[in-house]
Amino acid sequence: MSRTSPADHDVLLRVNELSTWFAKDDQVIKAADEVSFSIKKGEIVGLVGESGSGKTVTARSIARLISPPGKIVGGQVFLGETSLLDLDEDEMNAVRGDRIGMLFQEPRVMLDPTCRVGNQVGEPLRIHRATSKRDAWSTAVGLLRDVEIPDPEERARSYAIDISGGMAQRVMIATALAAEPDLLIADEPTTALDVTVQAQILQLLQQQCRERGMAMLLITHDLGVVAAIADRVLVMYAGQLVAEGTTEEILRGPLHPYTCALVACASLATADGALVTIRPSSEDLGEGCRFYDRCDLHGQAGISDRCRDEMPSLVESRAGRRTRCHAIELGLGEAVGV
Amino acid sequence: MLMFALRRLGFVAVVLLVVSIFAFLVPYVTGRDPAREILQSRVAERAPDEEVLEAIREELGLNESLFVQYQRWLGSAVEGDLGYSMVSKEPVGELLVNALQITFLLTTVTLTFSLLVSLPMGALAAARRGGWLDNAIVAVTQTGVAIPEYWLGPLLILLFALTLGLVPSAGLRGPEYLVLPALTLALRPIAYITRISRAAMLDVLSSPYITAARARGLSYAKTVVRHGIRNASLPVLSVFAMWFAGLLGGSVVVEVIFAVPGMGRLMYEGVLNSDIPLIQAGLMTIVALAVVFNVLADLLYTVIDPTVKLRR
Ligand SMILES: Nc1ncnc2c1ncn2[C@@H]1O[C@H](COP(=O)(O)OP(=O)(O)OP(=O)(O)O)[C@@H](O)[C@H]1O
Ligand code: SF4
Ligand SMILES: [Mg+2]
Repeated sequence: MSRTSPADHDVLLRVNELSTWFAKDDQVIKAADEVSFSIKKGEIVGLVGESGSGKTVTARSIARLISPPGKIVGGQVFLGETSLLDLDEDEMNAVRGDRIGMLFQEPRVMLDPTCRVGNQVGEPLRIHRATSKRDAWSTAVGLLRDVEIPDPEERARSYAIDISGGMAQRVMIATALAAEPDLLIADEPTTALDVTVQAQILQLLQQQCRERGMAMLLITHDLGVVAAIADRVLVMYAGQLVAEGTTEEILRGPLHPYTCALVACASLATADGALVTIRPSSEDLGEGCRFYDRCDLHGQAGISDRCRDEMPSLVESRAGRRTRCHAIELGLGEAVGV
Repeated sequence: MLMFALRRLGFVAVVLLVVSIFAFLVPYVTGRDPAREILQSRVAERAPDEEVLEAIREELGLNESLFVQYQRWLGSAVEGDLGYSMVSKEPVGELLVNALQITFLLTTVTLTFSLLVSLPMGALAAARRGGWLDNAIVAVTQTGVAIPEYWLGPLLILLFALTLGLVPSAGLRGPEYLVLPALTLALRPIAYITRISRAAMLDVLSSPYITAARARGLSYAKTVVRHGIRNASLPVLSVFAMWFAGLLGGSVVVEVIFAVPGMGRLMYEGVLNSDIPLIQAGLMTIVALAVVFNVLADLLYTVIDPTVKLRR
């Protein structure tokens, strides 16, 4: 395994062929299958895909928060110069919460019900900066003010049960910001919130990223979220990355048939803007393209045999634009009007 | 917090009043004539003399209406006078205090031992979930709850007292006398507290806030200490309080087998002799203790988990 860091000094996170598998009834689920991408300093990258496509597994694998039956089976993760998968457990603890902050989908259950909000927000400082209890508390109050929580002194003294979901996510954001991380991993931070609150939280996240020069991996079902704040987009399908591009490229000129379906669904605007699950097909993967069963393009392009038997690779067509599809690779996409 | 405490106190007062009525009435529902019983216990075999019986009834106020008797009983009980044992003629209050001290000691020893065994076992089983150790611990606790004390007690006496001669088998003349009764009593609390602590720990460790704490950079061990134990201790505490209150009532079986002069034996003898004042005051004391323990446990919850009072 190589310990060298990526050459590009703008790159903050480089994920290289990261694979995480789950053992389930003597069968392996490749929840993240050789996932590769990178994030530049200060960049907001969206990770989209339907339920079960492996977004959460990918995010948690980066922070090495995978528990059995899951296991990271291969690949590399570089955060700056540091190869995370080569760290021992203590070194990794020093990275979590300090250089990487995390947000989760259900903010209220992420708070310890018996612990005051202020203590949880200040905890990263207590862990990573050896800050005194009193100083951590006053910094926490300041952070709560930063994330626009009214009456932060009062709120710091409250418990998870006393606050709303939107408020709880602000608390989680304040916690994640406490040690001023370089990277924020936000796993569907707005999915569980009211629509009006969603927009406020997104705006807050974007603003904090800008002010602090912090990069964010933003996981979401919702292309609307991506359109609002992401610089670039990664599309996942059945454990694999199938497309990557700038937000503009992905939303305006999708190439991969799955991305096209996503964009079409999103513009059909389901009530909550979430992606419609067309049909889950993570199980029983054959040799070929995982989107084969749901794809109309291979028939039209006359390459069905190849698509069924051979896995397409993620091909870079232009700097930063990657697509995993035989038809696109062969230039047949345009021929049939994609 | 204050309101919470006051409301609980009001509740306790009502419960105790209701219980006092039942405690007062219990000896009467057996339908036996206490005066006759007393006399028979004194002058064995001889047919009771009606005149003497009447004198006893008069002396004990048994001729008055139940309501008057209840009033008088409650009144003096409130003043701290629980009457005199019909058998030994000693003050019931003193008998109860002596017996309670012994049972309290036995209970404390039993449950301290139980906690020392079951908390690590429960935590260990949770940490090794599904492994052979976990399976073994679960199997042992399942067997433990099914073993009756009247079987285990004699077995332990046979093994440790009679065969190995390590500890005395009966009486209470020193700390070593508590070993066998405490062991016998501890079996079931160990089984139950192990189970509940295992379940509570599993529940807490799979909670999202544990993952979130790990994501802040806490090591697994520190996460368990800072965010796990406090949350897992709530259900454990409630089972513990239940056992404490229950054991304070005294175990008849164990105290009789090991000749420990505690609450269980005192009540057992009281019932055998139809010692009405003793039965009444004893019942009242046992229930009052149970209620007080519940309230204490409730107050302790609010200290451990400050959100508890809001959930009720
Ligand atoms: N704890 C687990 N045990 C077994 N399999 C798991 C577990 N967690 C994830 N998986 C597998 O990994 C796959 C990807 O899960 P993941 O949670 O990453 O999906 P996701 O894209 O985040 O979906 P969602 O949008 O629903 O959050 C799942 O389909 C499942 O098969
Ligand atoms: S590789 Fe073939 S099956 Fe897969 S998306 Fe492209 S055209 Fe469809
Ligand atoms: Mg997810």
